[in-house]
Amino acid sequence: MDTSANVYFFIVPVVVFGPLFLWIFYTFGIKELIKIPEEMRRKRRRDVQAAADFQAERLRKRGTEAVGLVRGPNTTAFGFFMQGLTFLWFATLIGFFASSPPYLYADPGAGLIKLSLSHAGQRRLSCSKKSAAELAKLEPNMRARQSCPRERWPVYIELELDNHKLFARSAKPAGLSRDGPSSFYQKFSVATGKHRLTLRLRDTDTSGFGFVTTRDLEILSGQVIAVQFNAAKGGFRVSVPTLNEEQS
Amino acid sequence: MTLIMLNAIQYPIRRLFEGLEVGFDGPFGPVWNPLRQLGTLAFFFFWVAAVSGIYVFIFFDTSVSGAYPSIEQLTHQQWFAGGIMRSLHRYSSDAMVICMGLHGLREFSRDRYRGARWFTWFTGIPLIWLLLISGISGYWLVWDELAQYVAINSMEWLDWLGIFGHSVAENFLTRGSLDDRFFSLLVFMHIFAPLFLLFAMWIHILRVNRAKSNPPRGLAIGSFIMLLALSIAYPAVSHPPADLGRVPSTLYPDWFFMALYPLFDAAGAGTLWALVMGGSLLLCVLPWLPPLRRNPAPEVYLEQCNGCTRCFEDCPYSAITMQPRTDGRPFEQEAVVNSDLCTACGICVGACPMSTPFRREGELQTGIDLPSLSLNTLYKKINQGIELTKNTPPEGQARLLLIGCDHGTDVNGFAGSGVGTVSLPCIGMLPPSFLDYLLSGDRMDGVMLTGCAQCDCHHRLGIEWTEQRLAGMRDPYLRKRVPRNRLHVHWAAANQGSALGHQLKTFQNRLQDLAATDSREAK
Repeated sequence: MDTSANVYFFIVPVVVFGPLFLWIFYTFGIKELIKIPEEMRRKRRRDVQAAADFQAERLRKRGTEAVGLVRGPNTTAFGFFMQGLTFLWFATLIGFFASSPPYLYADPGAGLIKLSLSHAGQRRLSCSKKSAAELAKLEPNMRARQSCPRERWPVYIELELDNHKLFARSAKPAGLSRDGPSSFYQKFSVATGKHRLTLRLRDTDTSGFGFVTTRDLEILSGQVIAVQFNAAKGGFRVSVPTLNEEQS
Repeated sequence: MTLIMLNAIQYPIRRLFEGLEVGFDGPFGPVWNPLRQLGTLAFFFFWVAAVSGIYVFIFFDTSVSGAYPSIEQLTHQQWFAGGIMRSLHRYSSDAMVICMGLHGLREFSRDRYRGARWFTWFTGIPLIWLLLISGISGYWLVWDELAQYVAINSMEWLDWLGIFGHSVAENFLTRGSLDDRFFSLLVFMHIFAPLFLLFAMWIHILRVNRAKSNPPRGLAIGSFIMLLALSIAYPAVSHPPADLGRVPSTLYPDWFFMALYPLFDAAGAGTLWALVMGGSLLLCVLPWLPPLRRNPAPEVYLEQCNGCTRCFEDCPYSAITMQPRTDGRPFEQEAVVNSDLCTACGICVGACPMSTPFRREGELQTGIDLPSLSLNTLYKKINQGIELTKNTPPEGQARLLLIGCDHGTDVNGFAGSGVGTVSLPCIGMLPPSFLDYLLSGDRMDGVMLTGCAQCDCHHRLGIEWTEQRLAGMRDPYLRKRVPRNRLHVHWAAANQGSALGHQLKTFQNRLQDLAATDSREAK
C-alpha cells in the first residue's frame, strides 16, 4: 500500500470530520448539559486578565510588599540540582516500568491450538406448505405459501488430542430468534511433539457427527495451530504455520 | 460507620501526600511543586503526546505489512527526530497515567470529590478509560509481538461480552487473516480515542471556575527536558515483528497501560470485566458513599446587596450568578446562590463590601452570609480573641490574633500566651476590613494570617484572593492606613504546625521590638 496515499486517507477525514463530529456532538448533545452563561464567560475572561495584571504588578513590587511570605519557585543552584535529581528519579520510574519487568506469557516448551469457528446449525423444522384455509386467514400481503421457522439447532463440537478429550461443548445459535450461527473460540496450550488431533461437529439433533476430521501433527514450540470450519469447503480446516527457525 | 472507614482510608494517604508535598516545596518552591500541579501536568503530557504522535503518524505506514517496517525505520534511521518523537510519545503517555492516577488519589484523600465537587470527580472516571484505550490502541499499531499479544487479548476480552455477532479475535487467528481494512480500524481507534479524551478533559474542568490547565512554565520546561533526556538515553524500541503463527513468549509490556493483562491471562475475561466494571462503578458512586454533609449555603440579604458582583467574581465554584433584581430597589442585579454548587467556603462573605465591622446598626449584617458562621458570629469571635489576649500575655509581650482555616494547621492549638485564634472555613472568608478593625484601632499589636499551603488552597482561590486583597489589587482592598509591619502572612499545610509556631514566635518578637522602638520614639 502506498504510504503517502495512506497518510492523506487518514488525515483528511480526521481534520475535516473530526471537528465536525465534535461540533455536532457538542451542539446537539452536550451543550445543554454544560451550558455556561454568557456572563460567566465574560467573568472568566476578566479573571484571566486580572490574574495577568496581578502577576505583572507583583513582579513590579517584588520585595516591597509589606505582607506575606509568598514563596516563588526555587531558582537557586541547589534548587535546580535537587529538581534535577527529582526529575531523574521520575524519569527512571517511567523508563523502567515502560518496558520492565519482563512478562513470560507463553511456556517456551509448548505450542497453542486455537479453535475459532462460527457455524449455523440446521433448521429445527423444515418448511411446510400452508393450506388454502390458512392462507385465507392472512392479510393479502402476508400470504406466503410456505412457512419456514427460523430456529436452528445448537452446534456441538468435540476436540480430542491423542484420544484425550480437551473440549466438548454445545453453543446456542445467536440472535433473539435463535437463527444465527453458533460461535466457538478456545485456546489450548499443548506440549511440543507429535500429536493426533480429532475434531467432531454436530449441527442437528441426530446422535452422530456430521463432520469429523483427524490430523497427525508435530507441534513445535510457540507454534499456533488454528482450527477453523467451513461446511461449504468440506468442514474443518487445520492451519499449521511454518516456523522459520525450526522448520523449512 | 462508613464515614469512619472512609477517614481511615483517606487519612494515611493524605498524610503521605502532605509529607511529600512539604518535602518537594523545598527544592521546587510551592509554585513549581509537581505534586501541587498533577492535573495541569497531565494536561501538559497530553499535549506532548499529541504533538509527538502527529509527527510519528506522518511517517507511519497504515498497512499491516508496512506498519512495523515504517516504525523501525523511524526509530533507527531517523533516531534523531522520529526516534525521539516516538519515545516522547510513549513516555509522555506513561507520565500522564502517573499524574492522572496521583491526581485522583490526592483529591480523594483530601475529600475533594464529594458534595459540589462530584461533577468533576464523576467526569474524571471516563478519562481513565479513554486514556487507557488511547495508550493500548497505540501499542497495537507498532504491530510487533507486544502488539500481537495486546491486540489478541483485548479482542478476546471484548468477545466475552458476546455483542459482536462472531469473534473479533478471529481477525488475528492465522497469518493473513488480519487485513489492512481491520488494521485501519485500529488506526482510527488510536486517533479518535485521544480526541474523545481531550473532549472529556474539557468537560472535566468545565464547571471549575478559573480552571488551570497549564503547569507553571518552569515546571513544564523541566518536565519536557526530563522526557527528552529519557528519550535520548533510553529510546523506545519495538519487539520482534508480529507473527500470528507463533505465540510470543517473553514480553516487555508497558506496565502503566498493561498491568491488567496478566490478570486476564490468569483469571479470564469474566473476572477482569467484573473487576474493571465494578471498580469503575465504585469510583462513579464514591462521591455519595457517603454523601458530604455540607454546611448550608450562604444566604443573600437583598437589603444589604447592591449587586456589585464581587461575590460572583470570587466564587471558586461558580455557585453564584447575577440575576435581575427582584426587590424593586434601584439596582440592576442581585446575587443568587446555587446551593448544589456551593461548598460553604465563605469566600463570598469575604468579598462582600458590606462585610465590615465598622458600619453597625444593631446586629452586624452583610449582603451575603453563611448560616453556619455568620459575619456577626465572626465579629464576636474576633472580639472574644481580643478580650482573651488582654489577660494572658506576660508583661511586655505582644498581643496578636492568629486567623487560620479549617483545612490547614489547626490554629486553636496556638491559643494562649498573648495569642488569640480564630478558624474560618477558608481564609478567603476574612474581609480585609476586619484587619483594619484589628490593627488600625490598636485593638491588637499584630495579626497573623495562615491557611492551607501556598498554591494548595482547599477551596482553590482563598489564598489567591486574600493575597490580592491585601496587596490592594482586588476588591475589597485592605486600606492603606493599615500598618503592614503588624500584619504577617504564613501559608502552612496541615502538617506544618511547628513551622507555623516558629513563625508565630518570630512575629511576636518582632512586634515587641516594634513596640519598644515606638516607645523610644514617643519619649
